[in-house]
Order: sequence, then C-alpha cells, then structure tokens
Amino acid sequence: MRNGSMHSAALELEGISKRYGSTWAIRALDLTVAPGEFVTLLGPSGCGKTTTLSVIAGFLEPDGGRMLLNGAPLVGLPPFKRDIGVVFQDYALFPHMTVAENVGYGLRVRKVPAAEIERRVGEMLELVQLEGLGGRMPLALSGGQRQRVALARALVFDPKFLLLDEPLSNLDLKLREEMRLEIVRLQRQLSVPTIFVTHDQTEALAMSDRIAVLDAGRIEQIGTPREIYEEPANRFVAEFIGSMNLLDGTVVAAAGADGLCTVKLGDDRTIGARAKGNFAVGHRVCVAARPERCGVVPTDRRVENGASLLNAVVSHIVYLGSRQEIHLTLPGGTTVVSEIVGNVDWDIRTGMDVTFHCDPAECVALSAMPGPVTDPVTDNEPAPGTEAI
Amino acid sequence: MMHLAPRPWTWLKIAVTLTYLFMLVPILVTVAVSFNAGTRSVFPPEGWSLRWWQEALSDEWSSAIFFSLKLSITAAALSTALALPLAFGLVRYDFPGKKALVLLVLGPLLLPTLATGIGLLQVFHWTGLFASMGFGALLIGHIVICVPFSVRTISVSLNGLPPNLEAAAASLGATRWRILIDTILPLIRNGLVAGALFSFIHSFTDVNLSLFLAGPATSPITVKILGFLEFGFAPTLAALSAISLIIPLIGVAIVQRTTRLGDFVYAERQHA
Repeated sequence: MRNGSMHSAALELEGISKRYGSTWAIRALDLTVAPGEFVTLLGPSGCGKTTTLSVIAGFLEPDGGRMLLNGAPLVGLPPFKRDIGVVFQDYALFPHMTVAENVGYGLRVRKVPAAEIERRVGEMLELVQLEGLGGRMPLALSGGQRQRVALARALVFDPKFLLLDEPLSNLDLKLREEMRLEIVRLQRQLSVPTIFVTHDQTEALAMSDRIAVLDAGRIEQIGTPREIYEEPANRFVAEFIGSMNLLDGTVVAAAGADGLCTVKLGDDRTIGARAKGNFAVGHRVCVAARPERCGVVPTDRRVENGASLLNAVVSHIVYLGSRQEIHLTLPGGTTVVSEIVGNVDWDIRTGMDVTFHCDPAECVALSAMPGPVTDPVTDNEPAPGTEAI
Repeated sequence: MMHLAPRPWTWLKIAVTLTYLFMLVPILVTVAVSFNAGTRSVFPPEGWSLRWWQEALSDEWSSAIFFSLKLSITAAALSTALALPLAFGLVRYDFPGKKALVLLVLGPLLLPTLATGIGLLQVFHWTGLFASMGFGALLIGHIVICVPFSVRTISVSLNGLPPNLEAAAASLGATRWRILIDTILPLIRNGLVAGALFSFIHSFTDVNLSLFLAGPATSPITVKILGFLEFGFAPTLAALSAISLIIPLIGVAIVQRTTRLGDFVYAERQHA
C-alpha cells in the first residue's frame, strides 16, 4: 500500500495530521480510496471527519503527512488546482447566479467555450433530474433540488475526486432516503471516487463500499459496511454502529480451533463468543451481541444446543410496530436488549423471569480497553485517553 | 390603572411626532423663507418670488455647488475603494495591531471633524505642500472622514456572506481573484453602494473639516454659505440650504430603489 503504483489508488493519505493549537483534530491518518470507490468517514461530531475533508479539498493545510491524488502530490496545491468536487452541508450555492450558472461555474472558470458549457450543463441537469430548472434562482428551489444543483455543480467538470460533507443532514427523512439512492446511483454511473462524511450510521451502511469509523482524530476501523457491523474491531465501533449489548467479563477458556472463547461474566454465568484478538485466560474482555441476534424464551423452554443462556428479568417492553424491544436486567444489574421482529408467540410481561440466549457465533469478544487491539508495533503514541488537551 | 394600558403607545406616538416636527419644521421654514419677495429673511414670507432661487443658481453659487459635487463624488468613490480591502482585512484576518487599526480607521467617526481638520492642516503645512495642494488637500481630508462609513457598511455585508461560498468557488477552480470578482463583489454590492452613499452625504454636508482645508478657489458650497453668513442671512442662503438638502436626498432616493439602506443603518449597531 505504501509504495502503491500510480493507478492502484485514486487517493492516498499517509500520516495526515492537523492540529488546532495543542489539540489534534486528526492524527497520523492513513486512508486509501480505490478508483471509483465510495468511502464514508463516519464518526461523532468533533471526530475529525470534516477536518479530513477540508485537508483533502485544500481548505486547510495539514501539519504533516502525504496526500496523493492519482499518484500526484496534493499538499501545497491550492484548492482551485486540485480538481476535486465538493458538496457542502449547506450546499453553498451562489445566490446571485441561476441554477445553470451555478452548475456551469466550474466550466466557466476553466474557459470552456459557451456552447459546450451549455451542452454539458444541460446533460448534468438531466442527470440530476432538474431538466428545465436552469433559469431558476437557488432561493426558488426546494432543499432537495438545491442538493441536486450542488451535486451537479461539483460533478460537471469531471473532477478527479468527489467530497460530500454531510450533504443529507438538512433534508427531511423521506427526502434523505431518496437522495441516498440518488447519490449512490450518480456516483456509480460517473464512477468518481468519493469520500462521504456523515455522523449517520444508517447512511454510511446503506451507501458505502467501505466505511472508516473515526474517533478523536483516528481511524478506529475501516471495512465494508458488513464488516463494520458484524465484526467490530473494538468497543468504540461496536457501540457507535447500531445498538449493541455489551457484557464485561474475564476469559476462562481461550479460543480453540472454532475461534470461540468462553467468558465468565460478573454473575458467574459464562457466555461464548468469537475472540477478536489473541486473548489468554484471565484477560478482561467485553462481549458484544446485537439485540436482533439475541432471543428471549420462558425459563422452562429449551433452546437449541450451543447457545449461551443467561437468567434475566424483563424490565420493560418497547412496542415499535414491526418489531419489539425486550429490555432485560441480568442478575449483576447489567441491562441487555433483545429485539424481536413481529410479535412474541408467548405471554411476556414486565417483571417476568426469562432466559436470555444468544448464539456464540453471533457474539464477539473485544478487548475491554478502548482503542485498537492490534498493531502494538506502530502504535507508539499515547492511548486516546491520555492525549494532551 | 388597568384601563390605561394603551397609554405607553400613545405617549410613544406623541414623542415620535414631536421629534419629527422638531427636525422637519425648521427645514420647511427655511424652504418657505427662500420664496420671500422682499430682501429680509422672514417667516411667514412677505410675498412670493423666485428671485432668490435665481440668485442661488447664478454662476457664483452654482460653481460652488458643482465643486462640492465633484469633491464629494470623488471622495465617496475613493474612500469606498480604500475601504474594501480595509474591511476585508478587518473582518477576515486576525493580525497583531488589529485593534489599533480598527481605532485608526473608525477614529475620524469618533473625533470631532474639527480636530481632524486642524491636524490635517498642520501636517500639510509641515510638508510644505499645502499651497500647491488645493483640491487635493480637501480630497484627502474628505477621504479620511468618509472611510469609516464605507468600512462599516462593507463589513456588515462581508459578515453577512453565506459561509462556504468562497470555498465552494475555490473547489470549482476559481482563483482568489475570480472569487472576488464573481462571488464576493456581487454579494457585497449593497454594502459598497450604501457606503459610497453615506460617504457622499457626509462629504457633501461637511463644513468643519472643509473650513480648514478650503482655499479661495477651492471652496465647497458649505464653506461658501458660512462665509456669506457674515453679511447676514439673505434669503439666497435659504435657497442654497434647500439645494444642499435636495442633492443628498436625490442620492438616497436613487439608491433606495435598489438597496435596502435600512439594513446598514440598523445593522451597524450589531457589528460595530
């Protein structure tokens, strides 16, 4: 990856850092985007995702690191020479220009002949389904239409790369879901490598080829949506993506050939889980299990062989129409949730003693410490918790 | 006392009405006086005639009015041109000595123009160039007292620019220069126009500063009126006052058609 040839990657970031005063906004960030790939930077606000985007666009200069776009260095190049399309959260359309003038601006500054500008703007407006609106002013458009204009404007000059900064957060839910598909369709059709920044995990899962989960200026995990959801690398990712039951415990049997280890919880019960790390007996770990992969049965009902069984008391039931959340309290006081699609086929009530069960193959044991478990060699910086403020 | 609830509004209305009367009545009286038939400036006018207006528009006076127009328009244009980069620097950048620069720029607004006038006169004399400066001396003085107005209105406009527009333009391939021409200037047009108008009015109606910098051949209308006052208040002066009131009003009327001046008059307080 470090010595990748010219065309193996559209964008390569190596050790990119940016600090404000003594606070690191991003820290030694490595990221590679393949040609045509859609990568999402996902994280809570303040995790450094927008800073990363600004550094790539050239609005901010990094304090260290290398950036290559199609093999050519980006650091030091002013934004107007980078050929990178950017869509902003507030769209940033030019209010004094018509839709067509907005979309054509990138071509106008490139001194493209007027007739060709007109043709390409027309094609682009058609592509984003805004035919016939070229003469309108941005203020006369709806939020969704402005979004499409912003996309068309960022794509019309055939950029080498596309950056999307939370472009959907100002739209209402229904429109947001529609635009999600629309953006992915456009991105696929034009095959432009893209980085999409969001704090919305559903957007990230639905749209991305790969997701990079960021926290405190570092990438916690990068992988396909499925990998991120099914195989969280650490506790932060497990908690940030979707909802997750987290059970702290100690390894009492290390992983064997099947990759499953046994973890003793505080209440002397054990639970099986796939080990995400080389845990020995006595290691403190955290077992993560998705609510929709966990079940609840009456105490007298048998569960398929191999499942981990825990005694629990129903604390409350949340009815959500298509599904129900059964909130349970384990003997140690830990709360877990079982999500059940449709109706429960038995009479479940608050306060009832029940059996909470989950398949060890659906559970992962993570290091109890925050941050990545692996890479002790390159990880010579202090852990995130000890960072200077 | 509950039944008196609407009272505050009644009092407010009365106060506002009185304020306006206090401001407008003297003007109306002056205008009426200019139509006197006799040689005395009295109100109500003794008979009606246009003889004083005729005199006010004679060569002697109209040349002074044109001189004032030339001075004010040039001062407004140049002070606005100077204020644009100044406002830009003050709004966009932090640099050592910024507070001092703000004071320096807005100073003439706070200082009596009289003091500015004396100061400039001394500086010009000290350089030994005053005698040969003529119009130039007046122009420099007027630019100094007009710049604060333009800096403020342009700052208001710059502060009101939507965020990310310049970043968007840059990402689309626009150089800094093109961003200025294509994006910033069109969007702060109102601030530029309002600043130029306020500067024009301030310059056109200035007497304090001009008093020190004017010469026999370079006297704005205000200085000339003041000089003439020494011989008594002839109705000519009433007519001239009316003219020097109408000219700025015409300016306001023209600009008001395309620019909401109120935005700057009221917004100034927030951004001062």
